Amino acid sequence: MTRQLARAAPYALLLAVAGVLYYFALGIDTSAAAGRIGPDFWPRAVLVLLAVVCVYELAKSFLAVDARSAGGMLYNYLLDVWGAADHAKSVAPLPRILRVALGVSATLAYVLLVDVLGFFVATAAYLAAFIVVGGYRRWGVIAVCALGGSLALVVVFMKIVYVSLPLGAGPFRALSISLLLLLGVR
Amino acid sequence: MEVLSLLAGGFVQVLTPVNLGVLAIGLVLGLLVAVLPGLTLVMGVVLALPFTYAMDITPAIILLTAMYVTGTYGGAFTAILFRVPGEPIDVPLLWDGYTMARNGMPAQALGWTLFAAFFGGMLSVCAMVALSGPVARIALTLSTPEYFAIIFFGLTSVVSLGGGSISNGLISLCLGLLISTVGVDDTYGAERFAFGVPMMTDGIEYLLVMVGAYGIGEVFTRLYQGYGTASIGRLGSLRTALPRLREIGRVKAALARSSLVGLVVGVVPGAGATIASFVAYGAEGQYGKRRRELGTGIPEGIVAPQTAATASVGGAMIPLLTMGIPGSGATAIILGAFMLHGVQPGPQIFTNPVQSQMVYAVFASMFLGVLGMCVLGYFAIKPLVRVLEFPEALVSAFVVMFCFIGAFAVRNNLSDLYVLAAFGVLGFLFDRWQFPIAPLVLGSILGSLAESTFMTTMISFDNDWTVFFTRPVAGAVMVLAIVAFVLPLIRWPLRRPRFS
Repeated sequence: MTRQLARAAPYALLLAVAGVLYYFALGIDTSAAAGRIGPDFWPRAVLVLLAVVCVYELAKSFLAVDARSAGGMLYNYLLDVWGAADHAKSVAPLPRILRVALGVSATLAYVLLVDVLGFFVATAAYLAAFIVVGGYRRWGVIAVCALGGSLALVVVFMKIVYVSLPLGAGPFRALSISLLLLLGVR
Repeated sequence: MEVLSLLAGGFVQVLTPVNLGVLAIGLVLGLLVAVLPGLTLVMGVVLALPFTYAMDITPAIILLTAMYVTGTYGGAFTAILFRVPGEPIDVPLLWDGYTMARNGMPAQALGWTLFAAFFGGMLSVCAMVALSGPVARIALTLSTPEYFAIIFFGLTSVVSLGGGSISNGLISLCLGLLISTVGVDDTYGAERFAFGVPMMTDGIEYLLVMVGAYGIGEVFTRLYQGYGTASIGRLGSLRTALPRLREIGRVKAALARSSLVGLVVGVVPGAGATIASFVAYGAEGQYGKRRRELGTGIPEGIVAPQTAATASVGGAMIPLLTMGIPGSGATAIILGAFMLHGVQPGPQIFTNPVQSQMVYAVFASMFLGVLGMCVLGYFAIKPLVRVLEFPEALVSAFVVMFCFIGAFAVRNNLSDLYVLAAFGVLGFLFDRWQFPIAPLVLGSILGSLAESTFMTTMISFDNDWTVFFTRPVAGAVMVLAIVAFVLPLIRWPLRRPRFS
């Protein structure tokens, strides 16, 4: 049963999403259409198709035993995670799922903080963090890549390609501006 | 004659220091990206996009197309020499290319690949130059029902040709189409799925979907699998031995077949070099004279996938330039680059003197690009292969940064980074759950065009949907689309009788 539920989970989630979006699609303003197909027709048609496919896959999930389907993959994935937890003590590097969780968290943190820390500081920190999460452990190389890489990106994109990258707030803004003056970027 | 004189003008434009320099950079970057297993050619073109913002349109498109052409070839080196396919395109090269190398003939295997890439590339560029003008003239006579039918064909093809589960392909496509409906609709100006968020009212840029799902999603997937660094040791007397004319004569049928497959698959919207490569190898297995020997390291097994992969490039550029419909992931980014520079590809660019000059300059650059790719492949194979030794964790961290900068620079809007990160996570989940990413991306790109052509047709023809079948061109394309979609559906349950 766990296997079947795991297999059905992505389709159930998507079916729920389709249902919620269909509800919102009913509220689209169709007053301008005046007897013609309105702006709600296309999204509603797509949502119906999405729901039909999800229902078909849900039904199949409780009848089929094919691990190649999305749910089958989720099931294998859960087995993977449980398996990884069982053998955590015997595996030296970070478990796969933890590695991805850290990578995603670092990426989200970067998105959240780049406006405050400014591009240079946030990028240097992100590069270092991501390389470490990726399993690379030569600290000197990591430091050079993080600081040098961030500086190189600032030079390339602000001085050559003219992309206006975030400067940050408060002391970080002052730091970014000093750096840009040093690099000759106006 | 007119085409030749325009092409000559194109060569004059390309042979300037700036354009030649950009072309050379594009060729080198394309080969590097193709060699690295964590980077696909689509990702490579995505990463180059932010560098084009400050360029004029001609060098910008030259850079991206050069990377696109070479991206279909570079991965062959590592597939043949180390059994490491740089791209999914190169997987069929493992079967005969790597086997030939293991049989003691790596130089010959590399030579066949180089020749196949050259032949497929040159032929497809010639076909592109010859066909683009006439196709553009036909496209000018088409109306919205025909345009909708062509887009519908592209959308059904990407689901049916994508491999794997048709249901998952359809779900992915539906999600892409839904993404394209976010914001204010083109026909009535009604707001849809914006939920009062200003950023959503502007809609979701398809470049964010593409860069997030392909670029960041792939980085997360590789992170999950575990980054590694290949150790390739000493390369010794690594060289390329070109085939002789007599040997080429023996594979002429394979060359013709795979060139045709590459061109046709390239033209079909949604089907790219990877599908061309696999289909050509499959066709060789069905119709080739030496089909029983495939997999034992024969030239036909190398020539077929490589010729088709490179030939698909010219094919994919035809619908992009003549109708504004991208034929592959890479051409979708090139479409984005055109639009960022204020040019909408379509039949009109062939009638506008300034824009047609630019198009023929791109054509000329592709001739030089194929030539330059082969020269680089012949002489620079050792340093190119050494790129494999770069630690993947370092490369991936920078890939994410390029994705962020590229996405941010489109609208200078930090909110876009949230959307990008979300699509990165979605791309990772899609990969884990075996939902194909291509339909999602193509749906988000073509969705608004599909909807606007559908709505315009319905309004113009009083909601008469039969118009899609009663007009000759639209009807023929719709039937093709339905056949393309239904055939795998019929075969699919027969192939997988796994119900308990």
